[in-house]
Amino acid sequence: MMKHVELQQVGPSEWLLAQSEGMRVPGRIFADAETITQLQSDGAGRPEWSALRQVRNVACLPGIVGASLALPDVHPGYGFPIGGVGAFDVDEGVAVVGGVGFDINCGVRMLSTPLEREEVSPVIARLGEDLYETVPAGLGAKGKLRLSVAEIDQVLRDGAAYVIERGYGSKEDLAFIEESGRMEGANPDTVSDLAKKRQFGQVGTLGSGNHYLEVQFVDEVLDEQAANAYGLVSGRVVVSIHTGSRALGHQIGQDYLKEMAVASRKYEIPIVERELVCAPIRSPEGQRYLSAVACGANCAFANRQTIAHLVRASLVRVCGIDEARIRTVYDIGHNNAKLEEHTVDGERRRLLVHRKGATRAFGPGCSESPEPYRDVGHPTLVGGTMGTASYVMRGTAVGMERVFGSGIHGAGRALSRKKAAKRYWGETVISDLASSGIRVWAHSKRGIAEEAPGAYKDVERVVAAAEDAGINRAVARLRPLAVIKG
Amino acid sequence: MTASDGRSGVEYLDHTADIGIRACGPTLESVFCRAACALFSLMVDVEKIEPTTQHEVNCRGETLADLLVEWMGDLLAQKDLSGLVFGRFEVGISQGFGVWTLRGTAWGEGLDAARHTPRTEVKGITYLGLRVEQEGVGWVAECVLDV
Repeated sequence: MMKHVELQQVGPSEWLLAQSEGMRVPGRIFADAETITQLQSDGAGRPEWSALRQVRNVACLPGIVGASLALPDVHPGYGFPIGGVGAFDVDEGVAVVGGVGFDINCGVRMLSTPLEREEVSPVIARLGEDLYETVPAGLGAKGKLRLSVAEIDQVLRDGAAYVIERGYGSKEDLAFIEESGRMEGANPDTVSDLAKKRQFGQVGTLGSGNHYLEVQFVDEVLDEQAANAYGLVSGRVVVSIHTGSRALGHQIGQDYLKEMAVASRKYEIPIVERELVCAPIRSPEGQRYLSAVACGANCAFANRQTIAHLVRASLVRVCGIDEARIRTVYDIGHNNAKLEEHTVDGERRRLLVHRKGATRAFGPGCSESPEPYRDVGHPTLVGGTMGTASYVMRGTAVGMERVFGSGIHGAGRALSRKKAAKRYWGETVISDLASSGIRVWAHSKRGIAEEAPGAYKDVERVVAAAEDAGINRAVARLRPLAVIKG
Repeated sequence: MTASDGRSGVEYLDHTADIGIRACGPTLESVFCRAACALFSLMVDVEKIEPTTQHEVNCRGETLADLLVEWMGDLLAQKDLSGLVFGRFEVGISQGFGVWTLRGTAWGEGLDAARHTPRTEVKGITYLGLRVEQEGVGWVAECVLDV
């Protein structure tokens, strides 16, 4: 067990990890007391696996500004904790591989429909079956869009816009995707041929693990003004797609862990942990990495855009609705590093904000949000578990000030996959969920056991902690009707 | 050269988000083979893989830990490049001029969802808690895989 880490509660659901030797800033953890207790006991004899230690390690990196942050869904990751946010000064700071991870711009796309829950319930079996057949998922699944090297380069450069040109969705979607579905500065030359080749058959595939496709309904609207802006209506059906940059992102992560280890040595940056290898943001190595991250992010935008198109086709086929009435509510990633402007101690500063298992959550009035959402701030999409609820939330002025406009991304795991697979049986999880009205289609029963609702923290607690701390605000609670897992 | 086609000597470790593996064996080569087997056991039922296709791996690393990441990373990439999954491995490891070199062979076949019982896809080999060390009379390798 890891040595107890001294934390001081400094606010509702807010804890301070005081600056100690090597730390350039303090750690600040936004979580409830139960999560803190769990974090203290995590590690099982391996202190390097502790999320609290990871918060501390991030605080040691050059140019970090404010604090090394962890949001309420925090749990152990590699390098950064999951739910970790680290902002770095562009002139003195570093770009950190572990601050983005392997699944670059993994995120959630949400589509709204004009359908009432009661209209979908009678056809839910057909819809689930159709989605299961239509959206490639699970280990080894290939997408319908087969691409050449030159076309992969276009995906990396142009993101969602490229697949829209190829007939997957409409240009109206772009306004409701973070960065309009295309991150600037994506130079495909910064991505290895191996990464591109691994991606040939994977654009438009869901993957496995915690990735999912869910047909949900709006169970309750909690913030009328924001829900109205987002077009969320109580009782209406929405679809959420959780996936990322697939093998391309994974290979970029693998490649740059090596390249940035060399850079760390070159720039004499002490590395407390291998996943925190980094390079100065303005260095050629740092710029190259950020360009590769932009490529990975664009690949993820294209991936979710392609799947969204397949989902629309399914909804039209099974429910007979007009495709134009299935609109993108938002598409937002939760593994990324972005150049942003923030006010720190009254001064506007340009920062590179890493969010690992955390979304951007810009509050009211920010010009980065889609125009119709500007008054309330853009939505953040918080994945729950197969058996509980998911949430739409939004950023707040407090969140802009305290956590660089960041948001929680999910419930956060509580049990390891090993423990979950031992405790739960895939078939039983599926039948239990069916008895509470949630249908599951899965490519892997073992995967279902690992992803059993009981393996996660209670999403309600996580959402409540974010609200208590004032950093995010709940807009609507969603409940699943049908779940497709890889 | 040491060959391995079983899962003996492998233990999965509790990491909250991802999964850790610990491979033990009498020789350095045996733990590399067992770690590879553990990697594919997370994704498929390796017992059902027929060794019909072989894939050669040549890789290098400054340390044995780096070499393990290179070896497993090469095999993992094959899953996407050629659709292959592996269940039997053979490696030889040598050191010279400050670099570790691995020459290995993996045997397997194209992934068949109907036969291989697909499980969870591994995204990457992390350096978290990574170690390859001599322990007692044998060797041990540990690493965390991002899933």
